Amino acid sequence: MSTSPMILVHSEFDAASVRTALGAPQYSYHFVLEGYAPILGRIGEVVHVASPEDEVDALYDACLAEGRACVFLCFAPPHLVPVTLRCPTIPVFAWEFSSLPCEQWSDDPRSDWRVVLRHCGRAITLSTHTADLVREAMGADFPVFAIPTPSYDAMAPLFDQRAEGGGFEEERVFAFRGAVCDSHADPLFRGPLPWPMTPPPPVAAEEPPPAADSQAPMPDPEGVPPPLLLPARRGARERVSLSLGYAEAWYRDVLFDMLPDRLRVILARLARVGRRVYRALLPRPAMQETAPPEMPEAMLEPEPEPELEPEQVVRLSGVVYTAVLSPADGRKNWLDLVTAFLWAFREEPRATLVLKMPRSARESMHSHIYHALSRFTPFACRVVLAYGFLEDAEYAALVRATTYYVNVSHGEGLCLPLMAFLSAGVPAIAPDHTAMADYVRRDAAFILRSGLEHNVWPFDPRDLFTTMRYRLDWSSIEEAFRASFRVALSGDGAYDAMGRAAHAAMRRYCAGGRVRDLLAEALDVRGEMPRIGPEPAPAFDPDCEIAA
Amino acid sequence: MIFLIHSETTDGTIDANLGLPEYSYYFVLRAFRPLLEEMGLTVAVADPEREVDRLARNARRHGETCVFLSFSPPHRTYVARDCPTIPVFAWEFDAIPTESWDDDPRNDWRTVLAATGRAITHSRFAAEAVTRAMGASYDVASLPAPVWDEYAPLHVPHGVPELGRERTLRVRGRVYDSRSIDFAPYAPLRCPKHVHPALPDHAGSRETERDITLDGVIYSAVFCPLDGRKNWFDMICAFCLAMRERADATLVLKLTHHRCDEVIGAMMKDLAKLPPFACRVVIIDGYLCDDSYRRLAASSHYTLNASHGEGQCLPLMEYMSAGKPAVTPVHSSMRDYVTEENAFLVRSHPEPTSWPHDPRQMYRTLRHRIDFESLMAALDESYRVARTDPARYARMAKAAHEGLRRHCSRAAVRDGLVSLLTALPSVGSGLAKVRA
Repeated sequence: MSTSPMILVHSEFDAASVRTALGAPQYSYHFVLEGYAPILGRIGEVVHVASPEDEVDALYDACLAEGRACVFLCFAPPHLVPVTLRCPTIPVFAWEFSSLPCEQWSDDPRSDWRVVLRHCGRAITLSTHTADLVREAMGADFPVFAIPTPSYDAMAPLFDQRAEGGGFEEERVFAFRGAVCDSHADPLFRGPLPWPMTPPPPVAAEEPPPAADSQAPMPDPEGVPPPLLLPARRGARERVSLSLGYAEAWYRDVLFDMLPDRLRVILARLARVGRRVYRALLPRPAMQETAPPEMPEAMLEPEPEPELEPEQVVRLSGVVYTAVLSPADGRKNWLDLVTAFLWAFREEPRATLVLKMPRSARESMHSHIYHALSRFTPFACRVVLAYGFLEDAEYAALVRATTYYVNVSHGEGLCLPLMAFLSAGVPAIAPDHTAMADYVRRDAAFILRSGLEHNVWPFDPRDLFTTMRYRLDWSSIEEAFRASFRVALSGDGAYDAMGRAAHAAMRRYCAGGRVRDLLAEALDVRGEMPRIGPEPAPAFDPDCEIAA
Repeated sequence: MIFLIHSETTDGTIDANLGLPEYSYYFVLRAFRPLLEEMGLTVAVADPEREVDRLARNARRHGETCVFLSFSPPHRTYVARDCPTIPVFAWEFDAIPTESWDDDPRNDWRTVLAATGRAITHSRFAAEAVTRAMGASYDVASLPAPVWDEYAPLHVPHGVPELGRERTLRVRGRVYDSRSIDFAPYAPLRCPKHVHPALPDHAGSRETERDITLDGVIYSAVFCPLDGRKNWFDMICAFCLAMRERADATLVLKLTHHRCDEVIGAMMKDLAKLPPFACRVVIIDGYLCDDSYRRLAASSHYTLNASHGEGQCLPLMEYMSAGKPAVTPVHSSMRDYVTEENAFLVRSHPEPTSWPHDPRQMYRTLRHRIDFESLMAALDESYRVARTDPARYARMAKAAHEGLRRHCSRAAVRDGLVSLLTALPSVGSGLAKVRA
């Protein structure tokens, strides 16, 4: 084994720490690493590194001494990738906006990603979209490799199980531990809205909600604030955040250019430590800082404490639309999803929407979602809000119960739940922008229309309109719901054909064999390592091929 | 023929009511008034419940016919017992209110419309919404406010407003000029979300008069920024992104509300979030006398609209009547007068919303979501045409002028009004005099 390369890997959170860090900016890079790790293990020896600055170069030196190749894969957005190491470093990252961060806004030159990419000389992105942005910023010949996580293999067996299942009339059950709000069980949604109304019963205690869409500074769409549950007073986090904002502005405007360079460097270091302490003490109510890909639910959440969560059994029938998302993440655009579904199926009892959300969303977002539902009452279709963690088997049951997976987001770094459902042969409703351009296809999905709108780089503290994301054409979502419903119930085989197309396309796109070959090419170890997997890399759409 | 006319907002209250839901009815009434005065005796009524029936009975005794034109939405329209009542209302959504709330049956507009038996709206889009709710035989007319005649003289055939020439306007009020504003204090790091910033102090006071000078390719938008449907956020951002490197592109925002400090602060914060732009944004928070208002229209190359829905949009109609091509979506009332020949079209798509006066905020109707990318593209193309294609500009200007004549000249609106009134049994004879 001494000739096999050593592959050092790092993400900010490991399997243990991610349990308490769900929603923190970089948490989902951990799951990307987990997805890659077994495949990397077929290429070389994978060594997890907790503290790159302390460990990587020592391991690298040891490899050098043995004449062994060594590379460091850092699963993080480039501004968090160390540039002081001797070991060859390859950042692995996702990005769903229209431009890479290419301005320096702090004392850390890495806020301009080009600095990091130039230093590393090579990058792996999770989508062609991000790879194209890298080439746009770095030059057409910059070695960047678009490699999805190998989502197909684990989900593929579900394809056959779904094929063996009954028709849409047949009841499907999925169970999990958590909380459920089922519109069919709530009398509020059966008749006209009582008016004037008292605030609806929340599933859980209220907390000041995060801005539903911190990256979309739209004026209130109706010009009227929602009447329910707005925080009357600023919370501690907001007060501290405001104070820090003013302090930072004062430092920049008044002090910065008076201080000697060395003092500024020290202050910058102190500020970084301070920010870490601040985040630990007053965690963000929801992820909104950066752009990690959404994880499939089985990977999304830390192990809960099962004794605290009651078992929920959800019985589904008819045409079931599922979305797995964190509604506090503004990019996911849950409001368009809910309103288009309810508009399309106001009078259709055979249509169900399941929103599978993290447990934390129950506190932060439930009142907002419930309020949106109440604005449609009465309606005949069914909405199931499921807050909780799904074990693998429970996740599989949800996949089997689902007729279509729905994504209406403003941008995706990858979207693992969509990849997982498609791999299992569940057709989708989704836009084909950003990362989804790699795998959302007309024969397997109802494609949504969208156009660019101005937006901010999410972790840029200056919060400026430096980039763009996609604004959905709402009417195309509503049309897709109606069209997909007709297709599902038509009985002419069109639905099954979409499922087969989805399954086959995902095999070509993100089966382990293909991912292994792509990684080998990216790590430049092709030819050095004996092929371990028996399967050759299948061909894929030409536009998804990695540029040589 | 006597027209009893009423709008809740009057000359005396317009200042206080600007920006409130019904403020624009005042301007509509004002635009209709000369036409009505041509056609008959016009009497403004302040309190319809007390005055209309009494006036109508009196008039009948003297052998005169009355019609009560209520420039109000149906749920705020008094249905007279002794006088034909016609609600005259603007509507920009695809469905009229068909539910009642707060124990007021008038909130279901069908109740009122059934009682009046006829209605006037300002667009075919709104008339269709009424027809969908009331049935095909319901008597609803689409009559825009007749604004063409007043603005038509501003049209200069074959002309493109010269790019190099400076134009001066006299303004009473405050003027915020992006060229004189340091946006740094409004950037998010220095001015967090919940903070209302102090406004730039170079703008002067609302009472002082000053001259402002405009040049280059001038886009104008006249709107009440407190009206969320106007969507100034997309308008400003798309303009500054599309014209980022064009120092000779100017956007003039003429605000029609006198308490705009907060919203101007919000505009400053949005402008501060944009990448540095060479183009110019001039915000006029004040009064333009008729002459200055017309001079602004005459100086402009284009009129700009990015709204979610329009009952008719008087400024757009005024500018287009003056031969100014528009940059605008073609939804709601704009379908009646905006075409590819007279405007740079912005794509838009339906999205759900609630009836504006529904306190329950139920999702019951649709408005339009602007396609931001196409708004930028339309701005870009319009700038190119103004700079490099005077022939096309002149064709579009003429098409705007001519198209609006067919849409909202006094003559066109008069024909429609006469045929609606003729159908009224008690009015038919009174109208014979009008026709004579």
